[in-house]
Amino acid sequence: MEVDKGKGEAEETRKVAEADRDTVTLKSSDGKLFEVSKEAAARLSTVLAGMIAGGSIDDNGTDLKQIGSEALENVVDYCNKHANSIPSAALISSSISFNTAPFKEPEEWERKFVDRLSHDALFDLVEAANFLGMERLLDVTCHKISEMMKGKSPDQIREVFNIKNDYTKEELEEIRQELAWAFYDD
Amino acid sequence: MPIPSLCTSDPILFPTTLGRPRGFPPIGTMVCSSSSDEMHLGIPDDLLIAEVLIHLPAKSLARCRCVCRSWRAGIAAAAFVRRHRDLSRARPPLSVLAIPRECDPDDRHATSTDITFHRLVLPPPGQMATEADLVLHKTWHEGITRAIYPTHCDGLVAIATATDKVFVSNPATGEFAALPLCTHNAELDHGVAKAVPVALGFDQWRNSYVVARYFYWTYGETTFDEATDEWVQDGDYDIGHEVFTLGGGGGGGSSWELTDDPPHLRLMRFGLRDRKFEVVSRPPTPGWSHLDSMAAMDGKLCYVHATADASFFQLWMADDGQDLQWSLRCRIVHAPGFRYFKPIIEDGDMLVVAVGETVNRYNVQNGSMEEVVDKQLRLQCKRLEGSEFISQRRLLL
Repeated sequence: MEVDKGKGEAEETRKVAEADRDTVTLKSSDGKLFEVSKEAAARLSTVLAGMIAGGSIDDNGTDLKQIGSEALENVVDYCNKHANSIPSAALISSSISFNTAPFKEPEEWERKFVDRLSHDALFDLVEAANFLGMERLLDVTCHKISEMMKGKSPDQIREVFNIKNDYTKEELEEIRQELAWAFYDD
Repeated sequence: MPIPSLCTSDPILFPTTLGRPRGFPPIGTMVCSSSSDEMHLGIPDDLLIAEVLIHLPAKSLARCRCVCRSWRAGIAAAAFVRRHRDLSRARPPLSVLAIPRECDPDDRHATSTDITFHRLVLPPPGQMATEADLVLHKTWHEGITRAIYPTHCDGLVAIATATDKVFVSNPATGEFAALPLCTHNAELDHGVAKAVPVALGFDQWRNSYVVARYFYWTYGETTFDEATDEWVQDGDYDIGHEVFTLGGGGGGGSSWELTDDPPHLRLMRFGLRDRKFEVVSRPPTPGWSHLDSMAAMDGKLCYVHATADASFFQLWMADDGQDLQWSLRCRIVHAPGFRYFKPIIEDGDMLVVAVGETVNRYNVQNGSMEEVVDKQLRLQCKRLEGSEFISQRRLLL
């Protein structure tokens, strides 16, 4: 009994120490370490929030094997620099009040944040945001991608996204006729 | 401490409480596409479709169908269609579709060969709209009565006229078509209504948009008997209905019609499932007036009750269930002279309403009314007076 009690206390103390830390360390697939504000990470990422709540954060660097260092650096950058100006993910999804804009419009700094990224970095960041359950970052990055798609021809879209055209000429002609209205104007 | 493996089945890691389902494909499927060169453009298709394409407007989405087979299949999938529609519905529209008609009050059968649809983008509070885009201009040589009654659902518009002719249009795609000629509505011979509305809705049991219409086989006369000082019903009323199927999609709902069926006012709902009319509860208003009207605001049925002197309107909203549950949304006191009030869009405490012949913004909290369309624009659009205004959502395919 006494031993059990002692162990419980030790665990308690350790948990308190863990809770005191206000950052968490994340480790990219290529072994680089990044520090991120615990509060921001928990607020912006449902996955990190779950890990923090579940006590599965490793002080020596929580392994995120699916995310490369460049993408993780962008994730951490997004969280750390701008955490304070972002409402929580839950708030965003409940306050959608727009129409023509497909997402809640990114703020100016968020726009700049994604604009400076190369296509590759942007696409990697989408995957990272999706993996980490970062609703807002996913919206902001996907917004950028949807902007890239607007007004583009199917050929241009294939080029940007490196997609192979697997239609036959006849099939494509048929679809185009069916959707002729979508090819007027811009 | 061991790190639990990340998997989508873990409810902590992938909560579904955020209001909308996200892509979050199982980790196992997050494989980069096999590009042979150095390009690393490997967003998986399912992520692109679920997170990017889902937010595109109809036109861009149509082009995306031409990109490759998997995109086309993804866009056509029932789940995609459903979510695309739900996302569109979740966002209050910020534009209003205006269909200007120069009506002749003395001749409800006057026709015009042209019909135009204008998109009026709503300005931020405190500002007036100064622009309205012409979305569609259609010439119909046989003529369309100037008196029309438009109804809408998911961006599709049904245009009932003062004859039995009904048109359906998707202003976003430029489609404009006449329905096959319907059964003659005897009500139209009696000058009761200028144009009798039809219902446009989505039939989730048959997966198609439908137009439902009621008509009178026979329409009895009501005459005033001076000897007894009473209105006397003379002859029978016999109501029928017909349904026109338009096309595919996802979702559901019922259609409603208000039948002005003397001597009692009854509210009848047309159930798409069993395709029958049934009498449903009216809002508990003290009596009714001929200025009462119904409208769909953000997919919810509204009943506008006007007091006899039209000094104020009550706006009732229905919860659609076994029967209709009515709740009073607000009471609107307005400037005298307006005989017409139609809610279009609800955005928090703000209602966008057609009042008289223009569009106003009404603050439910403090009762302030603010005009949205500036005078110059009204002149530019050559008489938005006589316009029929309906809410316009992002249009679906």
